[in-house]
Amino acid sequence: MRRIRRKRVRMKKPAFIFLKPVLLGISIIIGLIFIFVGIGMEEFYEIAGNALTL
Amino acid sequence: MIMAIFVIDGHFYVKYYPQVREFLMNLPIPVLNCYSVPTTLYACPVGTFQHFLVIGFFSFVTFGLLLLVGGLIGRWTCGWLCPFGFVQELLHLIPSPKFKIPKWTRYIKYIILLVFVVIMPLFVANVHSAETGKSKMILVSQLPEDEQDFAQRETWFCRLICPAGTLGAGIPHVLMNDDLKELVGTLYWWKIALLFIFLTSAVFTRRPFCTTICPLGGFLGLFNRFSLLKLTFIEEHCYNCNLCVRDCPMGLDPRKDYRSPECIRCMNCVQKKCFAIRKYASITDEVPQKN
Repeated sequence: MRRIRRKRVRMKKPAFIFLKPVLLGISIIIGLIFIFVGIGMEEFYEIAGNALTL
Repeated sequence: MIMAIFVIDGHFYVKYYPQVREFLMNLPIPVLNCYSVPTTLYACPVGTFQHFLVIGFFSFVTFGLLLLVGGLIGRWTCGWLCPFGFVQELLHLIPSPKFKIPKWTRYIKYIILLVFVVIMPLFVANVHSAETGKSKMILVSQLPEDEQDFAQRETWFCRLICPAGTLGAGIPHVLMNDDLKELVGTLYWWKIALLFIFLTSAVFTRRPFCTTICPLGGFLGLFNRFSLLKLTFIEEHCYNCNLCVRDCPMGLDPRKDYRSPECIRCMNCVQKKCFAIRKYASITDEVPQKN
């Protein structure tokens, strides 16, 4: 009988399994916080002011 | 893509609804589209970020938006919205011998991002000499202390490099405005030469500007490995037909590079009939069964 050779699957360490979701969460949460901080600081007026004068 | 360009460069709104443009110009969208383009509706994030550094602030909105968009969809906007990327892809359709860009050139954009977009707007000023009538770059710290606060810092990436700005804004403004024609000098011709180099090389290679120089693409590419929108490769479904490799606008091998920072999520490889490359949205690396 022919033996089927299977690839050995290397298991990831738990820390690395959670690394990507954590990075994703951090980027989304910090992104949202920064957007709200920017809105609070009325950055939009500066952005539009700069863009429209050019 | 054509639709996206009409949305970004909304001629209709600019002409008939200037107040809509005034409102939308508040928003820096994650696409390299210069806000000096006469018909544009949105602010360029790279230009906006530099402008805030120049005036001594940090643009929370721009940086937050890039983090959010990068986290959700990675470099998707490069593939689906960027007008300059579209121009390069159109030029690549011209029949000619095609070449691959060396891999090491991909790292230039990170140097550009760091040097021209972050460091130079903070520390380098543009000093105009009344005697010679010429401008020169000088470190702000080299100026006398009382002049440092008033030093004219610049958005150096826009000023020295950005070919998207030259094509969309520089050339049209100079052609339309007679006063500007008198101001055309070495810098303008330098930028025209750069634009010419990128547009010419786009005929022979795939998206040369996006691959080597674009700081926005470089930044968003950092998120490709963990963004919510992901690509995966299922080896059992691959016929090795190489269609995905042939059609990749970034010159990648999607079977190996499906999470590369260079991938612009154009989905050309997903739409082929082999079903080996799939797109999915997940916070982990697990591929959903139904897709």
